[in-house]
Amino acid sequence: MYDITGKTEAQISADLSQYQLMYIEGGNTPLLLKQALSNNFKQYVRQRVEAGMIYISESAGSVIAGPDISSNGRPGKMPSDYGITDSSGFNLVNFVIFPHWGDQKKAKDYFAHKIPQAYNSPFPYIILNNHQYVEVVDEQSMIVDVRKNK
Amino acid sequence: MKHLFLTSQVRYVASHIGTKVLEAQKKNAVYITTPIKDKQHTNLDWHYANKSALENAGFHFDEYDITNKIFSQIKSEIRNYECMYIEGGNSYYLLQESQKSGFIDFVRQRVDEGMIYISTSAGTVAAGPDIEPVRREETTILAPQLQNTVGYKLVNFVVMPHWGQEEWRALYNTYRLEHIYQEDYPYIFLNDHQYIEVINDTFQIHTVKA
Repeated sequence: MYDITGKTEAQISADLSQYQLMYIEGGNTPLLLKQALSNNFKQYVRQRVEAGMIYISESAGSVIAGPDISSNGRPGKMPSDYGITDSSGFNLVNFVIFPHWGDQKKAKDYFAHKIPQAYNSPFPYIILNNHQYVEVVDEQSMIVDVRKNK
Repeated sequence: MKHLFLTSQVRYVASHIGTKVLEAQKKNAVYITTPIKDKQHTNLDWHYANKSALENAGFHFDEYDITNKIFSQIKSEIRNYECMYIEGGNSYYLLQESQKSGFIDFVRQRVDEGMIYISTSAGTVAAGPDIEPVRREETTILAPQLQNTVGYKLVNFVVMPHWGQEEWRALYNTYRLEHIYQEDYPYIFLNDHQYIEVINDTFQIHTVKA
């Protein structure tokens, strides 16, 4: 387990270079981006993924892998609420993930905030429910639904 | 090899697609017009713009409508084309006529054999697992003989086309997204300047700058 909060770029590099696989948990996306910008974790991840490290993520970790996190925000959880002026994600993929689709607990956030924010966005959107994942190999993607064995 | 180009509105991305299809395939292409044959489509300016953009990208098409065709006819008349484009329009009517004529099996087989599949909107939705997510009363009423809403299943996701277009905003906001807010298919929201290139079981989404 590892938390990048308060770490320096050198520390991150020294602590994580031995790992061949990274999992980024769900949670607070703008907070994650703020920390990732403060210690250059964003660039570190890009370099490691480029070099072959496996990247696995959930929710916030999937959103931040994309080109921009802002359309996934909601009041109190917008990039600006964390002093972030550049909401670009890690840019590992060119699409934005909308996670937890179909989850009734998330419906209000989607219809009140995320969908209106996304409607004029220039990015493609991949909409995933909790039973699906996107496997990305270089530039090629595949969506897998674990319930359907596809 | 399965090779598809799924678009929301082909006229904005045809120039890119044209660079990815062999000249011989572009010159041996069939243009399926059935989605605009539901007798409701009267203003077809967008269709002519799509056709013109594809021609400018080097495609040479013969037009074909599967309405009231039978399987053997379809097989004998269009099996030699190496590239197929399916127009936008009424996905319900397209699927109804696809079911009646056996066109679904035909397309699946030809795509498996390597025929290039290019589509706009209705043709893109039809390529997926189910067209029900784009249900609209005014289009379903024109397909009274539709048996079910299962698509061609060339891909395992549903494309929601014209994302971001002002004229579609009300439909998306008032009905369409609430209708699909459930844990069924993966969805891709695609605007008119994007297309999905599918090669076998993987895909890549491209954005073409205006």
